[in-house]
Amino acid sequence: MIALTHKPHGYRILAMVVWVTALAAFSGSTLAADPKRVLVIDPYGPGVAPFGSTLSEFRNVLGREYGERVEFYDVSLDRARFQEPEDDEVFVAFLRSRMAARPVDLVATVGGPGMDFVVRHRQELFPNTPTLFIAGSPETVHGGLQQSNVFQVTTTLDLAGLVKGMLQVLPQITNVVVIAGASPLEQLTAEDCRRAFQPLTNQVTFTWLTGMSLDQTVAACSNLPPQTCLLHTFFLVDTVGRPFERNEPLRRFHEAANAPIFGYFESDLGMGIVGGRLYPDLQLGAEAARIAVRVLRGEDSKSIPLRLIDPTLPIFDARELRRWGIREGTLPPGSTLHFRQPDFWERYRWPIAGAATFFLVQAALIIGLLVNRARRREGEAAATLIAEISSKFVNLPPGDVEREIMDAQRRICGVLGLDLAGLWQWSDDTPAGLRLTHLFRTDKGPKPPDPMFAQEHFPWLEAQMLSCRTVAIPSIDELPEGATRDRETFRQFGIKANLTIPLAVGGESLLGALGFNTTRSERSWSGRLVSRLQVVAEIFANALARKRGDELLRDDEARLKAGTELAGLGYFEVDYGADRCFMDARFQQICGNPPGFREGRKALEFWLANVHPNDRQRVLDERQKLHDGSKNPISAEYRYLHPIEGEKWLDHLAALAAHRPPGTGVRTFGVIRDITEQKHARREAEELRGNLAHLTRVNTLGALSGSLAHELNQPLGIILSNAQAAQELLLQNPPDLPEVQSILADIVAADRRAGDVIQRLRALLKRGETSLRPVAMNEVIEEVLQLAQADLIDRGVTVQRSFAPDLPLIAGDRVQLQQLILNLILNAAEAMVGNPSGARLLQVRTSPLGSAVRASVRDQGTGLPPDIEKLFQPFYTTKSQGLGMGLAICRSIVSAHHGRLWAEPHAEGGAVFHVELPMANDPNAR
Amino acid sequence: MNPTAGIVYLLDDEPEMVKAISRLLRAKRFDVRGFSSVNAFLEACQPEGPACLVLDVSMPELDGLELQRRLTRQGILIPIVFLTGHGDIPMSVRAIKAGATDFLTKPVDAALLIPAVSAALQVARSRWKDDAEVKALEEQEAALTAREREVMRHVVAGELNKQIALALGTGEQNIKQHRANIMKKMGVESVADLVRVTERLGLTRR
Repeated sequence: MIALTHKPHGYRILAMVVWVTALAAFSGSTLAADPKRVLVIDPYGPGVAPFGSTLSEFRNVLGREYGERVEFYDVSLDRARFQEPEDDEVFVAFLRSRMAARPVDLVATVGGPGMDFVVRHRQELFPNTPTLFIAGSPETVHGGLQQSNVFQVTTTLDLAGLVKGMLQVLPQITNVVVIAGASPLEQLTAEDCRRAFQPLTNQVTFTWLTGMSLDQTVAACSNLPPQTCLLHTFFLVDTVGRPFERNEPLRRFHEAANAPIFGYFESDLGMGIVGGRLYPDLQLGAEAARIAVRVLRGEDSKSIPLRLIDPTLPIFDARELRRWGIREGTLPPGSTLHFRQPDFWERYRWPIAGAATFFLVQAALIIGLLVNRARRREGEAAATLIAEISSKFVNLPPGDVEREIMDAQRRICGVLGLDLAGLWQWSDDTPAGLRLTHLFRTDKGPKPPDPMFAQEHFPWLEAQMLSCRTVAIPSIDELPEGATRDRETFRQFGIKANLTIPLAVGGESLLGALGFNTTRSERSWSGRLVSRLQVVAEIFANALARKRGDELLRDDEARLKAGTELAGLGYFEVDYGADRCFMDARFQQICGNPPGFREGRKALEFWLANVHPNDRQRVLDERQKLHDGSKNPISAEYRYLHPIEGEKWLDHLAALAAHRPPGTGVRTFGVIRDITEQKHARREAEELRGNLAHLTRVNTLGALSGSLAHELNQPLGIILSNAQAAQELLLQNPPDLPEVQSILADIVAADRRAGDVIQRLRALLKRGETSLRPVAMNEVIEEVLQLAQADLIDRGVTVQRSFAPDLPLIAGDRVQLQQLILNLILNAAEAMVGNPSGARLLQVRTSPLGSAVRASVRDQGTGLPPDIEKLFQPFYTTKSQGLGMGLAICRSIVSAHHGRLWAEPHAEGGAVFHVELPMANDPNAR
Repeated sequence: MNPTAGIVYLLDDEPEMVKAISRLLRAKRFDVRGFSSVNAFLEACQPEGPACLVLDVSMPELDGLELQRRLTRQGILIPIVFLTGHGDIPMSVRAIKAGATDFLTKPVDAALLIPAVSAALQVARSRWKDDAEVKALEEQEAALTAREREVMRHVVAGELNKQIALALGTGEQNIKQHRANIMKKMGVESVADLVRVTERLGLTRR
């Protein structure tokens, strides 16, 4: 009783809770129903196979399935060791007292001896208690006790069948060694076996290992001949009666045996036996428990008949199978494998999975690395190859290009495992297109035709190349519709896959194409491979372009050389920065360089030293223009003193080299030419021209005789008349002296005038060279008109002047211009000789015209011949007298003035002669 | 008569030349009128007495020969002495043919010039005289009546009075009367003289 003391509130509650709980517990224990009691009579003792496992199974399943508490009372008769029936009494007495104290709800026993005991003593011990017989023969039960409340669950075992099963699994067995222990039970069992195995003795021999100690038996097991197997029945006690631990003997047999061990009991599976249709000791226990549950729940024997369990279905220990090399295929159908990997698997599933995954990952990594390495190796090999090719091609002489390309293709094929490589080059001949120039192949195959044009054999490919598209064909069957011809050609040459890369420098015109092919198998061209090969193609394209450029250059050089030779030019190059110079053979010939002075600075100095001192400065000045960077070529004519041939005239042309890397010095090139002859010829020509000009001047003046005479006669006449007048005056008385004075003055003036005319005449007659000075055209023309006035009047020619005011000065030689105009005017007058008087108008006009001055002389004469140019040719004349040089000389004068002279017919009759002369300070006028 | 009587016209486009030759001629007592312009000359050339012209052939303004023709047309029949700077033969021939008195080349020596001018003046004088005479005759002739002129024509043709009367349809007496008048007016005494006079008149008339 719990005293209710006056405690604080919280404590009171706590106390109440505790009380209630205790009450409940107490009530639970007192109010609950009494647990069922089950008496288990175990004939052999605890742990004795098989019944040890049966019973424990029985207990477990019953406890589990019944749901409520069950109390077990175990009594062991220990019959395994002791077989005396007399000992029964002890047990009976014990049981009686026990029953009296506490009656049981169920009695269970197992095995023959147990059943015997219960059958014998049931009446006195527990007549009305439900009794359950586990195992044992059915006859015993029904024969012995035809009572209610008796239940049985048992099984049969076919011993022979057991052996048969063994033989089925191991057909090669010829010897079965049967193990049994030394206890009476075991002996009994052995006897049973002997009997059962009798019919089989013709198939196998049976050896009996019984009655020995464990050690002995173990030893015997370890030395078994081949084609033997063991059959383990019981080994409960040894010869000295000592019981073994459960499964210890089997374990030791299993360890030692060199033959497979077959066993008897279901519970032995997993302990080292192979398996087969086994005695279902565990099932027995479980079934017994289920019946017990029903009995405890109140069912009677009417509703629970005898329960007969078959031996197990064939069950095997997979480990043993594996150990003894027994294949699953030999097992009987319906066999179940126990302890196979799943066991292992179940236990270690996650670690295994983990390990497996780990290994897989590792493997994948390794494989990946290996593949990578392989690929990298391949890539490295390819990259190395490409680097080699690249460096080789950098400074390749153009003549070696094609050969090196083919060699490179061969190596590429080797490294990349390709079979056929071709180099196509663009040819401009007919037909223009890609032409196969080089082919490399690893295997034998049909020879390509020569020449082979892409247009004919690979039209579609060629079209792609022309669009500068790389074509990668992993399989020729994948070629598009438009490439049927190409496919044919591929088949013809046994090509299965193709990669063709265009060769073009900078995307400009196609230089050629590279083809890579396989004949053994198709090939997928990876992007990396294609881009690698495109690099190679660039290298080749550059090399080819350089080669072509070189060829063109070579052609150009050859042409240049031919040209300069033809023209007799001496070619030179000077590199002032590097102090180098080159002078070709002709140059040496012209300049006469002695040995030791043919190259470099010495050659240059030699040449300069031989330039005529008077001309040297001019030459140096011209050269300086180039050094100052003039883009225009310089030219100079100068005298050169050849050491042997003496003085020559050279014409020298030089220019700056176009392409110069920055930082290098001045580089020039040019040609020289020996113009000595020409110079002399020119001089002669000039002399001749001068002579001729003089001649015609004289001639012209001859034609001017009238005018000239007049010009002179006038002053002379004046002088004469004045003088004679004076003479008369002086005779007078007185003489008119002032008059005489003025007469004399006039005489002097007239004389001077005559002197001027003579001067002019002399100037005209003088042989002069053209010197261009600023000259006023109007003045010149006026002077000439004055000069010719008499003549013109004689011929009845009227002159009309139309001079432009403020006419710019022209660059001219006064005397020559006078001659020119005089000629034109006289011609014009001459042309009008046949005209009626009054119809002889000579018009002279000047006008500015851009950067020139134009003077025109127009007449009303007979006009021009149909071939106007003929007029200007020498020896053309319409006059019976005269050389016909007049207009030719005029032309020559005009060209010396850098002007133009031409004639046109006038619409209203007659002719007009135009002279155009450049202004002074005109850049054309030098 | 005074050999220097008469006007000497001098025309040269060069003033200096005019000056020089004028001096010379004046020194030789000629009456010189010098011109360097054609127009000026033409305006001044109205000779009341004999005159001659010293002319430079090659003048820009006017061809000397042309001038000669122009003068002739104007009835100024003065003899011309041509001066020229050239010695061109064809030209001189042309000039002479056209009626030049002389053709001299410059520079002209006084020894050549003075006689030429004198000769020219002589020609001028005689022409003048002739002209004067012809003029007188012309006046006489002008005094004739139309009838008288008609008759004179027949008389001069050598016809008898009878014939003339018949031709003109008048009486002989009339004819005789006319004849007398004609003789008187014309200042002749014989038919032969009359013929001569008419001839002279016929010469000068075209």
